[in-house]
Amino acid sequence: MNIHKREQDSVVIFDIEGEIKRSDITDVTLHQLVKEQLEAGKKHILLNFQKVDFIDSFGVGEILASYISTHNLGGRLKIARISKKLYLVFQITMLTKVLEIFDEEERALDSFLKD
Amino acid sequence: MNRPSPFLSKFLGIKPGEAGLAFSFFIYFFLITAPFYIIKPIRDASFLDELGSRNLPYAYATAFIVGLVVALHSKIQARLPRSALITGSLVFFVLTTLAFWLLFPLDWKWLPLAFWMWANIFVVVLVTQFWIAVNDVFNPREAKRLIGFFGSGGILGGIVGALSTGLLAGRENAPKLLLPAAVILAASILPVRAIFRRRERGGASEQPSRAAGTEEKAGFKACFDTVRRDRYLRLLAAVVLVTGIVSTFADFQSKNIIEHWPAARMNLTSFFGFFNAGLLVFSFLLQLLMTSNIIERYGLRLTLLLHPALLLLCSLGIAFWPGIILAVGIKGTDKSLSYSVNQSARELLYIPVRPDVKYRAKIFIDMFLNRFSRTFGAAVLLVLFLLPGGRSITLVSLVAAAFIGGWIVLNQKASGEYVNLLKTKLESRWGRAEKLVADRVDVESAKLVFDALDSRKRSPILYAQHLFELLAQNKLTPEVRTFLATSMDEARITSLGGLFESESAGWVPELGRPEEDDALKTDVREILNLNVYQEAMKGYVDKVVSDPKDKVSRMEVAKSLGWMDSGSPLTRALEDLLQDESVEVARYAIDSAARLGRREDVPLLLDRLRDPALAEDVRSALERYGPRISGALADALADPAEKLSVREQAASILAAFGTQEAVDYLLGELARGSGELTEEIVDGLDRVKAAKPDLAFPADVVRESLHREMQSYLLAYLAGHSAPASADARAEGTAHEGKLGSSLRNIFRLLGLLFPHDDIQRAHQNILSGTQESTAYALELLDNVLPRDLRELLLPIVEDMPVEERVRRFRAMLSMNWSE
Repeated sequence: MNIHKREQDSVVIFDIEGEIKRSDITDVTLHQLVKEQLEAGKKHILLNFQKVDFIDSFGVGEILASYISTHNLGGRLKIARISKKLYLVFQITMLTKVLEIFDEEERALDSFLKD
Repeated sequence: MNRPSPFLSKFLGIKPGEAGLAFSFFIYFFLITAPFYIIKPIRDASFLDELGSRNLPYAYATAFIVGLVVALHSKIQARLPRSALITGSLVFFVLTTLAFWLLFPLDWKWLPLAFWMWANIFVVVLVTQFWIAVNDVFNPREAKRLIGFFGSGGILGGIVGALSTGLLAGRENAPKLLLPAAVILAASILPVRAIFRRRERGGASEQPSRAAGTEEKAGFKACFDTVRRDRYLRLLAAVVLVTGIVSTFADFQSKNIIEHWPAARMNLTSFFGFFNAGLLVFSFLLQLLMTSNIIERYGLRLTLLLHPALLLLCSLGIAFWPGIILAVGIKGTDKSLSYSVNQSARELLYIPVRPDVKYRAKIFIDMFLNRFSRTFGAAVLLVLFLLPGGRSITLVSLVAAAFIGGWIVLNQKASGEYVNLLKTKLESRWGRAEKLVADRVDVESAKLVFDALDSRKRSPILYAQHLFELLAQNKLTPEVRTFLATSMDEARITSLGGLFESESAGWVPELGRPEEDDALKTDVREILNLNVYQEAMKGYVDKVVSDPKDKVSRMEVAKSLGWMDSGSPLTRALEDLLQDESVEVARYAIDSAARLGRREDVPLLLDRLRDPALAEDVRSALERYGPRISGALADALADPAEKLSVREQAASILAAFGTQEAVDYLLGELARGSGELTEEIVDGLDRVKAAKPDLAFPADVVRESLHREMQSYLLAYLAGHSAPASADARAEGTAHEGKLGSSLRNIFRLLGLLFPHDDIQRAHQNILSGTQESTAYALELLDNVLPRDLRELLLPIVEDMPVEERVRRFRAMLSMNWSE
């Protein structure tokens, strides 16, 4: 898994590539990267799932841990460009009741402004 | 941006951009009170000269007439723009002052009574309109800061008016002073116009406000109903009523003694002029230099106690030792504190009330009830006079003392309700996300579905194991079953029967009724724990565990072990599997360890906390162990040699337990002052407090940590503002802001352990992300909730002020003794 960070309109965007699985992580996890941004005072985090093929339970844990850390500081974490397959799994596991998921990055960025 | 001089800022509380408005209000108040303090001695002297103190209750009773005037005023004010209303009122009183100036030489016997009544209407209408203008223009924090300054304009005006009267009034020619009074009053129209011009420039409308518009159909009855329906306003009304009754008694006590004092009798107008001037000098100094400080230093609750407490002492004194000193003292105390500290504090009580409601309430309470209370006081006096010995100053004073007692009780209730009202102004912007997630998502089941999907690619047995687990947890819902049964690009798989080496076709087992599911669960568990099965599997398990190449089989075994009895010999294999180099194998072993709940597995689990790929799995497993492993977690937390991430996780798991023991462990570590863990521990404590507010959080430990964190904030702030600019200033600036934000968060979370958690968090959230108004309410709430020592430490951190002043104050705070 590779994670690239960029910023747009005061939103930190993590472009994630590959599978978010426990067997694929390096020294730094997604949650740690999110926490670093939160510690630097960033409040808006967007996870770009365009190139995410699959996630396992570890990935779910990372996403939820990142969500919790962000929310507890008054911030927002959202997901964009998730595949239909993955979105379906998120739906049946009720993760969509917590996570805001957008088809397009632009709409996700707009939603931060509305917040 | 223009900055005021340090004097204006420090002593008068005037911030940049406020000087013009503040001085306009100062002059406005000056020019309406100066004429009143010419009118007032003439009123008192002419009444006592013509009618005597025995008829004073009738004069007090005319306050009722004011009610009719207030009713008329409320109808007019609903139709007119604010500036037109105030300007029109000023013109009316200029003309009527001139009328009395012409009438006094005619020596009508009952003219002093009519003049008394008119003078009361004069002060009620004009002073109330002044305070309405103040409430329109300033928010709570601004008002509290500036109230001392422009309020003192009124006292200074009174001093000038009273002193002039003292010097210039002769026994016979006193009413001639009504002419200059009319001229001064006319001049007050100028600052009024200036205030409303500034408001217009600032974008506020000169048309009747929305509040006024809603009152077009609301007259006096509507104002009365507004107060009647609101518990808080009824309390304020009761306070005003009792204050007025006590004030009436104090006036009678004072005048009754003065009337018979020979030195005063020679020229009562002049005496009252000098008396009022002296009184106002004291009030002026009190208002200008101390009122805002008293309120800020001692808080609203104690400030509201000051006036009645002093009057109680004076009344009891007069009851047993009546004399000119106490006569002057009681009147002086009443008036000086009424116009300064008490008036300011009472005006603050209105500030959290919604503007349209406040407007109607003030009409009823300040303009009508304030005067009606004098009538009521007069009625009580007249009833008292009917009793044998009722005119005795001792009896009058004791009855006054009883009313003062009631006043004290009402004041305390009002200040309590004020705080409750402030809380309603603050929105809770976000809560703890752990609860939100737990309420909406079954996280473990969600993870199980993801793992079930993943396991399909690995082995049919592993997949079947996941299906069985979903079934066992009653999570194999129709939706999940349908989803899993959807063709992806998988080969046929075996059903649960594959565990026992029998095959049948199907993506997901077609299971029948719930009782069949339960039967299957029971059957599987029983089979797994049969001695025969255990014996049969022992060799297989040993072989799999020792084969480093067959990862999938190890995963299958690791998962199966979780369904066996914890005493089964096969579960010994868990020890090796927990230490497996493959994180995928270890992860299943961790899950099984959580199911079995064996104490001996805890050290191995803590060991795997170090691995970022497994940390969340271990954390989840340890949480499932529950509070019985708190000691082991506390040891990890307290071990300085342990990896920081492990200690952080230990803190987080203890917080998840939410027990008193866990709190004690966390506070113990916090007390040791391990700075790098502070954020995690404080976050954990905050989580516990939010979920279990009844647990004990010893104040001494929390306060010590709070002081440490505040000092850390001050040092970080000063370091950030004194370091020379570097090439990477932007990144450093961001890091600095992040550090300050984190420290401030810790400060508020620690405060939330000592004081009402919800109130503190709302205040913090609104300071961070609220509007200017909600930030002001948040600061006001903190002002009222926190004790003085913490208030003095926190408010310089969160209040808006110039950088230079903040730096100066922080340096002063760091040099003080924090242990006191």
